[in-house]
Amino acid sequence: MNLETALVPLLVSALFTYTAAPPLIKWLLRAQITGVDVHKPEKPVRAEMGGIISLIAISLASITLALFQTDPQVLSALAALILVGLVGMTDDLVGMRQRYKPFLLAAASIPLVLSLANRGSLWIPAAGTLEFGYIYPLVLVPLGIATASNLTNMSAGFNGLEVGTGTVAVFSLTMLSAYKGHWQAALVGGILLATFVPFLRYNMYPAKMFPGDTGTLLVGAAIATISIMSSLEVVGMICLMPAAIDFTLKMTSRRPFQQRSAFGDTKVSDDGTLQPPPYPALAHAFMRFSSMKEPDLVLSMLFMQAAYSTLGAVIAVTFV
Amino acid sequence: MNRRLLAQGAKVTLLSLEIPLLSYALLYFTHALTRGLGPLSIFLALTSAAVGFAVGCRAFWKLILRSTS
Repeated sequence: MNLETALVPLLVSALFTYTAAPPLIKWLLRAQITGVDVHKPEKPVRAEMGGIISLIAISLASITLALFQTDPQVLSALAALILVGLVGMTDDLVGMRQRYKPFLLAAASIPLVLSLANRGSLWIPAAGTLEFGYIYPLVLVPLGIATASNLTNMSAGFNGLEVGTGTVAVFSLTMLSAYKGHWQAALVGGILLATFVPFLRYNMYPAKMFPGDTGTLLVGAAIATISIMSSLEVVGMICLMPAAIDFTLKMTSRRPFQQRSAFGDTKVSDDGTLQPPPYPALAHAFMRFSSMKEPDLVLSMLFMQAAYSTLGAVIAVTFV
Repeated sequence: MNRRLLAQGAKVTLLSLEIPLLSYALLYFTHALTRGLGPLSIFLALTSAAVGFAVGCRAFWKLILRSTS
């Protein structure tokens, strides 16, 4: 596959997302697939499950790639991402018990597991290469996809945060993959960036649509997939660090999983300034430092994501 | 991005860096000390890294509370 043919699925993905978003928003609002934007004083109702647009864009890009008879690993990775998106869509539409989600997400990684059946080692800086044998594809790959998807899903909640942080992380991983010569991973990353960037136009403050679980699970799976494909698992872990910190802060608090019902949501004053509830979370750490509005908070968190992504890139370039 | 936001983002990011550093240090030293134990060494190293991460997160939140109270 040459560069020209690799650009076609990227264009398909980007053009579809950009042009199909406005009618999709109208359709979601008509179908009452909506959510309340709780971080605005007027609490507007917005289209939910917008991640479906990225799901369709990735599917169209996969069909285009299949026409060019591309590398099977690329198609396996995209198939796994589509399956993760479908799990998210089911969750958005019918609501799923939290306990089933990790298993379904792990099952969604099967196409990727099959394409990585021969790999068995994991590299950790300064500790060296750890040999896992068959545990790597059978346990670590599904575990990685399920964990990453759940982490990004749980750290969501502000306009442009989930897809924004995902875009920053996927961008750095895509650039690193290309730099290291892992073209399959770079192509998958390119297709994802081509749908995430136009998606942000409708998701950044003030959001016209939310990604829903379809989008948030997809973002985490995207980071895990690209890092696994390019053997840059450590960089993927570093990119997911802000989400992991947020998750651990919430889990180590007094009432994990019940903080919102026990302590309430973030309060919004009339001028849009956010006041954090008393339980630990990464977003609340930023809010505690100074009074800020939603776009300021999202920009600060995107800065943190960029810092961690840069750290991951520096480690990969220096040590690997 | 204005200067105030940049400074704020940098402050929280710097404070949060102790979490992966502590976690990685525990992973590295546990793996080095138990190298002879084979697969058990990996298990012990990953477990100590996870514990280090949780402890780091608690310390991070206490630092946030202390510097904002």
